[in-house]
Amino acid sequence: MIKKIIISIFLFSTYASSESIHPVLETVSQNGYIIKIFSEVTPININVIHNWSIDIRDSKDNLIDDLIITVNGGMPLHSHGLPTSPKVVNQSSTGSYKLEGIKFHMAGKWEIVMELKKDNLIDVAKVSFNIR
Amino acid sequence: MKKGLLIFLFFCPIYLSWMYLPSPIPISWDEDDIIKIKSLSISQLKPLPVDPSNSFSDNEKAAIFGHMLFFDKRLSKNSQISCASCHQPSRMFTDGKKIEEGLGVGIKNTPTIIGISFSPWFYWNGRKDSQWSQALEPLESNHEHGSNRSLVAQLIFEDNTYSNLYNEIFGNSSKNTEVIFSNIGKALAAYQRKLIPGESKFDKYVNEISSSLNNEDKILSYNEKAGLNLFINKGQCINCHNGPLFTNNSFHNTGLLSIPGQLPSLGRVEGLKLARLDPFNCLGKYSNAKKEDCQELTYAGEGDEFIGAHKTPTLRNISLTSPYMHAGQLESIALVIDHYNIAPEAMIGHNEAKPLNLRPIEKKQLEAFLNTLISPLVTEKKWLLGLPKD
Repeated sequence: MIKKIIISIFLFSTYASSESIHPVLETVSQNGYIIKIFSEVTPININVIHNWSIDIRDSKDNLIDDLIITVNGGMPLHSHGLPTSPKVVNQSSTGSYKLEGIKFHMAGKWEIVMELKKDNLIDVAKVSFNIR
Repeated sequence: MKKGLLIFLFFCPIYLSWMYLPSPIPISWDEDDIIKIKSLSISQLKPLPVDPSNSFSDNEKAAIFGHMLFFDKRLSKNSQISCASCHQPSRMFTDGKKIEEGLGVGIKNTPTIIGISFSPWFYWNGRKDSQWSQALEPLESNHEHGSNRSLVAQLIFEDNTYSNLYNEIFGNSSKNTEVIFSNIGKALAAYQRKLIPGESKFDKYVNEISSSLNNEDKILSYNEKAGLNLFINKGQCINCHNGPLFTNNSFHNTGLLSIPGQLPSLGRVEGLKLARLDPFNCLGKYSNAKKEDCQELTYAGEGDEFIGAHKTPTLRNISLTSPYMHAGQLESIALVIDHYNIAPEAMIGHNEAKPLNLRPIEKKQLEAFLNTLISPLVTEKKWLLGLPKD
């Protein structure tokens, strides 16, 4: 149990986050991948399901493909998660991924947390942003 | 002793004024406030989106047919109950009762259906993902209409007006009971899509802000404005009650007690399970939608946080639609505000709300603002009345 807590603290303290209202959010994962993530619709309207795109590269700008990505998130200040269960699909060999079915049901500060899996290795990244 | 009494006499009026009297400071809005206030205006209401699962959702003849069905008591086992028995036009399409009552007593409060066509989910627990599929359940529910799909289909084809209208709208190619039943729901939904709220005193105030930006209007009283300020800031009501219909149509656990003698409602956790099993859902064979149109059902949120979560209701016309909450647990707006002010532990799941710590005067002001949301329908009067034979 203690080991689990220590691992969790490590994961959540080492991944980078960015706070921005710009259309493209950029963050660095725990293992150093550079992740660009952006909504396919701008501005983001609350209460509307839409899709985002995710672009993942290593530090040498090589696209990273074949990742299995699961997405979670929510509003930490309000102690709730996302109102939908978005899924990452169209995982092509181009390092570009599509996040489908995301929705935000309140204005305020949101987080999207991505878990990236490849060959039994788990990486984590997070972006934070405001929706007005 | 004397000193203590003097201190008491000095601070007591200050404390009482703080708790019970309005602040003498005028209310002004910053840029962020103005954005929030305008987002709530009825002028921000977008045109009603097409329901891809109902090809007849905007068919005028289907609305006429649905109007007749809505008020027709023959759609019940004892010919005494129609949709309008609980969704009464004179009560903003509610019934004024704690718990729904048709042929028997149900377990939930009757919500208003004004503006509900904008919602992707129906019922307090969201067990239906379209307005037409929602309209079917009461017809077969034992404590509501107590009828069944075969009897409903039979009624349609025994009544010349109904059978002619039905054939005109839907064609007469299928005699399958489920197809006929689903078409009845689609007509009822087409009618209910006409029920749209109009401008309230609050909306007139927003128009004034938009036109002058000088806040010199005389539309809202000081207490109503103070209540609006609480609604969008300290009270955090706008978090869930957002947009021009004052609802995010999402599901939240707000720590409500169950009604005596009942187990706490599982809320959305149960609702989503039922919606996925529903043969009349968006992905089912009676739906007119393509799979990609059914995003709400496909990507519906799930998990422990939806235990005990119920749908955020609209606040438009709230002062005319008591009692409140999913089981009518709270009889007045004042009690609802008291509930959120305390934010008690949830019986099941976790209460998302946090105590608001509003002073008595602030609670009154918040209530005063909510009373400005009376929004008469923009719907033509002919749709709000039953038919002459009723």
